[in-house]
Amino acid sequence: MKTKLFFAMAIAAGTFAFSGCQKEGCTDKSATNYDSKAQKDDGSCVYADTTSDIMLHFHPMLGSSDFAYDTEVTNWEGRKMKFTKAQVYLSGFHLNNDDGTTMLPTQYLLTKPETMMYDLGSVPNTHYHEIAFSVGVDSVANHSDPASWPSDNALSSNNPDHAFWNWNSGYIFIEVEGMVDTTADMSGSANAPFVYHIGTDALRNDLVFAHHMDLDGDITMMAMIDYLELFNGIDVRLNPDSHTMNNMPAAMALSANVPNAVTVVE
Amino acid sequence: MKRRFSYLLVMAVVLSACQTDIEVPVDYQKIPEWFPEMDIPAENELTQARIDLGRKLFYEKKLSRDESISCGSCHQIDKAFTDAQPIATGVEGRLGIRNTPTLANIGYTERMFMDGGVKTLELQSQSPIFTHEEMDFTIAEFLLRIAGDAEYQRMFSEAYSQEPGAYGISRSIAAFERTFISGNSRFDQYEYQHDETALSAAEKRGRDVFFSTKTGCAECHVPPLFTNFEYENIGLYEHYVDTGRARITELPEDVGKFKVPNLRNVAETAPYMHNGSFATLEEVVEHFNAGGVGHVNQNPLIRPLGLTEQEKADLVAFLHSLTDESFMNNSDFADPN
Repeated sequence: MKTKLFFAMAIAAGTFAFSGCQKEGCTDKSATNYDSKAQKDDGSCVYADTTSDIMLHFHPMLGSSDFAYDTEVTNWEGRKMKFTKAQVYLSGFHLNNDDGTTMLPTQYLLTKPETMMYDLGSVPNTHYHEIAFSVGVDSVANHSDPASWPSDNALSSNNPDHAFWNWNSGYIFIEVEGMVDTTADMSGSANAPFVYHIGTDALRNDLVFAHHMDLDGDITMMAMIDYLELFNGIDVRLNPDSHTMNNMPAAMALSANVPNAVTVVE
Repeated sequence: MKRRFSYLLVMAVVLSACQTDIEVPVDYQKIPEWFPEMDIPAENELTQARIDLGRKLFYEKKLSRDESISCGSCHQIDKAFTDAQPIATGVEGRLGIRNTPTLANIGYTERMFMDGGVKTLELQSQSPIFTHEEMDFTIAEFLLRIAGDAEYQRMFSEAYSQEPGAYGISRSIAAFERTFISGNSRFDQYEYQHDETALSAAEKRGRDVFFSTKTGCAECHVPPLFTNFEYENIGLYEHYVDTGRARITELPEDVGKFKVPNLRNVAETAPYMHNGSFATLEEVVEHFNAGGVGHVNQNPLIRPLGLTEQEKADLVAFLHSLTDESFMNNSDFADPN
């Protein structure tokens, strides 16, 4: 009986001693808490994120000033304008590198000055050298039924700001409204309405920007839109209204200003 | 004997059980056999729950910003779903740009609006809600208005297994509208049911004028739906303020073209033309008889017809025979609220 007890104690002690001299820890060299002294992996390895979340800071401007509603600014020809509505659909976000193109999880945004931060979702950590997106909506989505999109999608007609032409299926890519001085000598104040609703596939702008980054953590990319620049060269006094089809020259002129009005800060 | 009786009883039970298993499609539309088949999107097959929801929404004034109008305000059943106004009126008395079209047999229409700008009835049904000159509202705001409404919750759930939203709104209104079948006019009774007495002598003469090569009316207004769904310029103006089909296509050859309207119940849908510029059928007939102003895009069929006074009167009489009283008095289409 005594002998049996002794043996049991000896085995227990031996087991303890044996395990004690094999140090446990993270043994995977690719983990952030790799322990070079550990001999036995204890499942504690922690790995760095292989993807990073990309936020877009889409900053609205009026010329060199921050965007402000109902505030008079002077346009290219010295005419006073003020803005009461400004919203733009952005879509088709992707990042390019030498290996190809990575689509961002968020594909459609309806941007307004009230909101500057937009979550574009996560992409793999690697080097990218371009970001591309469209001002407008790709033609497939542009001819889709807005009632068919999930409610939280920017294209859904459940969205309170949703801008869709019901007389000719298609999204209003750029919706800008406000007041303009209509005196010939530009001596008055901005008190006559102007309305620009720009859309149709032909007037979508597909933009590509050089943007080098070695992604290894969540980042915020900054882009800007200058709503005043959209009207560069446009005589708003003579063209106070374009719903695109009713005033195609003005719509085309505004669309042509988009590449100058939208910039990505490198 | 007793045994045979019980055997029969069992058979009867089995038979009746089988019968309830046979799925007889419910006829929601009552389409006359001389009408073509209607294409219905697979995602929006007709069910009673969908039609009921669409009907409630069709007459729902909460869909307009100031809760003053519904679809049924402009599409009035007793006027074959028109409103007797030259141009439709929206909230705050805002004038739209065109005359309210009839919804009779609207489910057959391939593209919506007189310019064909909208592809489906499901898309169209959302349009008046957003349009500034119509309801000037948004679906998001409407959903807030009905957020606590248990009946809407139940109806959307039964119809589309969804919470209230744009999908169910657009689908159900389209489903309800696809039941608007008008095919029981006196013309139908005469033409397709061979009731010789259904038309008067004047109407029969007018029928001959309508279908003659002299007028060519039926070239575009093809029975039984009385439209070919094409866009035509009928020489109303030398300069069109509303360019019609060209507003969508931007093509110069489409300026002044509008969808050929369906003539069913046409005697009840005055005034006429895209802008309601003709008050009576007599004026319309006179326009076609004169042959249009000669717009560059004018259809060659529109040329001076040289109709006699008798022929013109007979033609108008025939157009009256396209009125379908049972359609305009169909209680299934009336306001359920």
